[in-house]
Order: sequence, then structure tokens, then C-alpha cells
Amino acid sequence: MSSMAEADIYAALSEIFRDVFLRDDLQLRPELSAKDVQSWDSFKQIDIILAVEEKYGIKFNTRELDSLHNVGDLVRVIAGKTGTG
Amino acid sequence: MGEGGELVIDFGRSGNSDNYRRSGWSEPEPRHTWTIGPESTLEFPRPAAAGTYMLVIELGPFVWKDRIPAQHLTVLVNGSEIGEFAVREPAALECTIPWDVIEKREWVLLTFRHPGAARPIEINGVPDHRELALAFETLSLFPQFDSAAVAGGRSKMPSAEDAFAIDELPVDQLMMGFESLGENCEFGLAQRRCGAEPLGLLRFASAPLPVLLAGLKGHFEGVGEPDQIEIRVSANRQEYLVIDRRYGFLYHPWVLVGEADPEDIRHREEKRLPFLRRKLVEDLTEARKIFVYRGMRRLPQPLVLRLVAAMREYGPTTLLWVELQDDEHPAGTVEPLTAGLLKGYIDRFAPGENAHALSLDYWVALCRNACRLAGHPESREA
Repeated sequence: MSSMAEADIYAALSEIFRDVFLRDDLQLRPELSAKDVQSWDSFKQIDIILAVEEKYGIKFNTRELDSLHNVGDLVRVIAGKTGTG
Repeated sequence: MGEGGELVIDFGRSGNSDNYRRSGWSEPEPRHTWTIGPESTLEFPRPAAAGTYMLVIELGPFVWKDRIPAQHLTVLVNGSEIGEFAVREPAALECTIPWDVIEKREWVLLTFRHPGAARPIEINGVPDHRELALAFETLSLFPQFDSAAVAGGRSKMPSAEDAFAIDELPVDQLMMGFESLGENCEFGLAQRRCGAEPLGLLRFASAPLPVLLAGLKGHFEGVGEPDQIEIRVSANRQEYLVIDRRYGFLYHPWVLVGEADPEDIRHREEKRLPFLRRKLVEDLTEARKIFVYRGMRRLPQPLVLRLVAAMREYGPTTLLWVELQDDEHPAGTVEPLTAGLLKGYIDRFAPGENAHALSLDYWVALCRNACRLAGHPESREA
């Protein structure tokens, strides 16, 4: 994945995370996971996924959803599905 | 009547029993309908497919101390007796219906004789003048289980390496390999306590078996359509609940009253539910996860086999059916019953009013033991 494409995805995800968690101070990094963010439960995870699907016009399959353990995983899957990986 | 000959009659107020009740019934109440007098009848169309059928009736009796210790019930189909019971407590009664009893008539007449019907006002002073015997909750009719119907497909036994990997699997990863189908949110909360947050349509839902079977049969089509979503306030007035009108399941959106507007919750669920429905159908089809179901009361095995058969219409799935321990099966035991069905035993279920008070250690033990028998998604893909 080019650093430009990765940076674009992180920028888009930052906006989505800000909207979902109503927090401006969240700094996304690859290893950031639900354990690090209060209230990041399955409901928030769905909100994130739905926003990503809408933003990129993609659909995650169940294997991809189950493989998402942190932000880095999400970035990799988005890159793979949008052809920027 | 389903194409496969299945019929589920729900005797709750929002159920479908109006279509089948004939004589000897009171008006439906929220979850059941009482029989009135010494005999009551139902009629339903004869199933199209020839064969032996199973009838399972979930009901509760009108009993009162020594005066009425039990209600006696005789079940007749087209005038032929198929079962006789002494009902002392809420129960699921099972009868077998031979084809030769029903093949001659286009409509099947079910007669229930309950000569011990009595008026509460005369027995215990409760101001109810109806002559009550039995409160019917559901009646299910389905072809007798054919083991060949659920046999076949994957029922892979894990290798020795798999077993080792399962012992070493961190508990959050272990629990991510399972998906709850209900009947309540206890298992979903057990996963949360382990740090596992899988996405599941029924994870926090109340999904009684008839509701679940109808949903599986209909591929949960229509879930999330705006006119099918109803937002209610819980009985304790503290939180919102979401009801799916089409299939009748109910779940927690985990929103307290005052935290959000009901219309905002509805809009959110319109997006979430189709997504979760899509994922459930994929999970059933891919059959990587082990699905979990526990009834709010003891479930008869024929009904569970029916559930397994409905699940395996999608793919070679495995169900972990959990019941209370008994003398032969201490808590934590998991045994394979047939292809696609494991039965687990737990020391206790969480009380109905507080699903958080669950037996976490045994839930985890059941999951680990189930994986030893059926594998875990991660070990299968390794």
C-alpha cells in the first residue's frame, strides 16, 4: 500500500471515528483497538463498519469482519477492497 | 403450514392461534391462551407430505396445592388418542402422530380433554370465574426427525494439534468463535465479559424457538424495514427495547430512556439490522462458527433437531445446545448428539430478571469443550 493511500484511509477513518465516538482527541494508529477506547463495543463497531461501507461503497464479508482486531486491520482490508493495497 | 409440513401456533396475544382455535378457549393473553371447560379443539390443514409427525406443546397447568396437584390431559387427533399426560408444572409435551391418523381428512382435528378444569374463584379465591385447565403457549408440528436430513456435510473432528491450540487459545479469541441465537442475551453478555464483541443479529435478542425457526425459514428477510421496527420502553421504564414486528424477536439497543429519542433509535436500527441480517446469513452459510442456543425452559430434543435442520438448510453448521446439568452430565460436559448438534450442560442459568448474573466459568468451559469436539474457526483456517 502506498503511504499516500494509507494516509488517505487514516484521514477518512479519523473523521468516521470522530463522528462515531463524538471525540476530537482520538489519534488513530495501527494498534489502536476496542480495548483502548472506552465504549468501543459491538454497537460502535457496527457504526464504524457501516460508515466505512458507505464512504467507500464496499461491503465487508463475515471473514473480513472477524479479522478486524485493530485499526491497522481495518486499514488493510479497506485498502484491499478499494484496490489501493 | 410450511412447505416442509411445519406448523407453529403461537398462543400469545400477537400470535397466530386465531386461525386454528375452535372450541374451548379463552381470549389470548400476552404469552398464552387458557383452555376453558373440560375439552378444547384446534383445526389445521393436513400437511401435504406423507409421513409421521411430531407434535410438541408448550403449556402450563392450573394447579393449586393439594386441591389440584395436576391437570390430566388426553390428546386426540381425528378422534384417535395419541397421548396422555399428568401436567404438574410448565412443560413441553411430545406426541407422535402416525400418518394413517391424519391422511383421510383435509383438516386435522386436535382435541384436548382436560377434565380437571376448575374455576380459580372456587379453588383459591382469585376473582377469575373461567373454568381453567391449561395455558397453551406454543404448539409445533413437524415431520419426525430424519437423521439423514442433518447428517452429512462438515462435522470435522479436530486433530491433536487443534486440541492443543484450543487449550492455548486466549479466552476472547475462543469466545469470538461462537454466535448466539438466543433465547436471551446471557451468552452475548458472557462473550462481553471475556472481551469478545462479535457482531450478531440475535446476540442481545429474545428469540423463542418458534420465532427463531420462522426467521431461519424466511432468511430473516425484511428485518430492518422501517414499518417492521417498533421501539418500546422496558417494563421497568429504564431502557428502550426494539421489536421486530415481522418475526417477533425483541432486543436491547442498550439505550437508556432519556439518552436518545426513539426516532433516532429507529433510524439507527434501519441501518444496523439489514447489515446484521446479512452477516448472520453469511455466518450460517459459511458454517465456521459454532452457534449457541439455550431455551428459557427445558427444550424437547425433537424441537432442537428441528432447529438444527433449519440451520443446516444454509450450510453444515454446528449448534451448541445448552441445558442445566443433571446426575449423568456435570456442568461443563459437552456431548455430540448428531451431526451438527452438540449438547452442553451448565450449573445454572442467569435469573430471568438479570442476565448479567451468569455462570461465566462454565460458559467458557462449555465453549472450550465444544471446540475440542467441533473445532474453532481459527484452528480450522490454520
